[in-house]
Amino acid sequence: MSKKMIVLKSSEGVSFVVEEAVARQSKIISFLVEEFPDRELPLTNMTSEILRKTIEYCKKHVVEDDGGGDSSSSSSGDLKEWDVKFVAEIDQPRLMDLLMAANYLDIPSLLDVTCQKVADTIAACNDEKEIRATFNIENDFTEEEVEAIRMENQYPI
Amino acid sequence: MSYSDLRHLERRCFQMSSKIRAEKKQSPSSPITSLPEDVAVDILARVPRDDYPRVSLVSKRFRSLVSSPEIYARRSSLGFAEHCLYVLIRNVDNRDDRLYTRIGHHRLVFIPGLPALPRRGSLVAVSSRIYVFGGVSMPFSMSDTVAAFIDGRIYVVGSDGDGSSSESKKSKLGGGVQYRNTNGGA
Repeated sequence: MSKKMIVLKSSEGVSFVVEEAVARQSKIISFLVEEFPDRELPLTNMTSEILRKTIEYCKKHVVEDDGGGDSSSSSSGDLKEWDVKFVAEIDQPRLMDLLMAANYLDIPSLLDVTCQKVADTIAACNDEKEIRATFNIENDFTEEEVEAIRMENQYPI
Repeated sequence: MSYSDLRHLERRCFQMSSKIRAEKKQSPSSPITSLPEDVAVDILARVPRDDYPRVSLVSKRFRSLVSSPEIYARRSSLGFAEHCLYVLIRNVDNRDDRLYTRIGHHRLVFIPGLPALPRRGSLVAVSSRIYVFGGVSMPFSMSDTVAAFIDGRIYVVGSDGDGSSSESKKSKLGGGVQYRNTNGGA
């Protein structure tokens, strides 16, 4: 029996044909395929690279209905390990893109792992300057404000 | 299609359109600063609390996020809530009360926004909130208060202006405050 497929189109116009069960990991796509069956879904704010990564994640996480033999369903321990490896291999700017894709498409488990990875990256920074440099954040404090915050934060015991 | 699905989709679309608008205005801005509030809270709630002094120095937005009630609510839901030690330091000369919390082992961090503590009042910490009891801000004047959080309720015991003792309890949920005079004003 053939599985129902749907087409997702990236911002570059590249079409990705995926099983509906895989794409339905996204609550937004799940909603859209019910409303607009037999249509390709344009994801104009997602590059092919990020869409490919997102699909790779969804394929791994799809729970097979038949639970059959060599399907992609895995034990939760293996899956967690796979998630950690999956986000570890992605560089910082792409990780943020993937996080935003997870948020936009509403894929809670992917949002979870990407948020955790960003949090781990923040925690691994030595100081606020390193956090700013890593995430390209502008310092909008004046010297005086920084000094005042430092005073508040440094009461020794 | 349910109503909530629709609302959700609308919210997503709004987030994306506002993101695109923000990007058009300031093109080289970092993606992390243009994240929706709930996602930014979700990220920072996963950073260990010991790192918050450092995180608060990154930018004004980060500083406001790590001191928001939302971040502590998210920490609770993620199972990262921890016991905190609070220290109240009172300057006896000018009666300037300052509340600190311990971060790491050797550092106290100032918590701004504490209302003027009434003389002989009391404080009780419940989840991410700190309640102040005593003085004229109570439904009836109460001093020498002792407050405690027991079984989901805050109990306050103190004396009123006539020297009689009274008891009040504040329910944790719903925010309703119930007061009861134990001595009937005797």
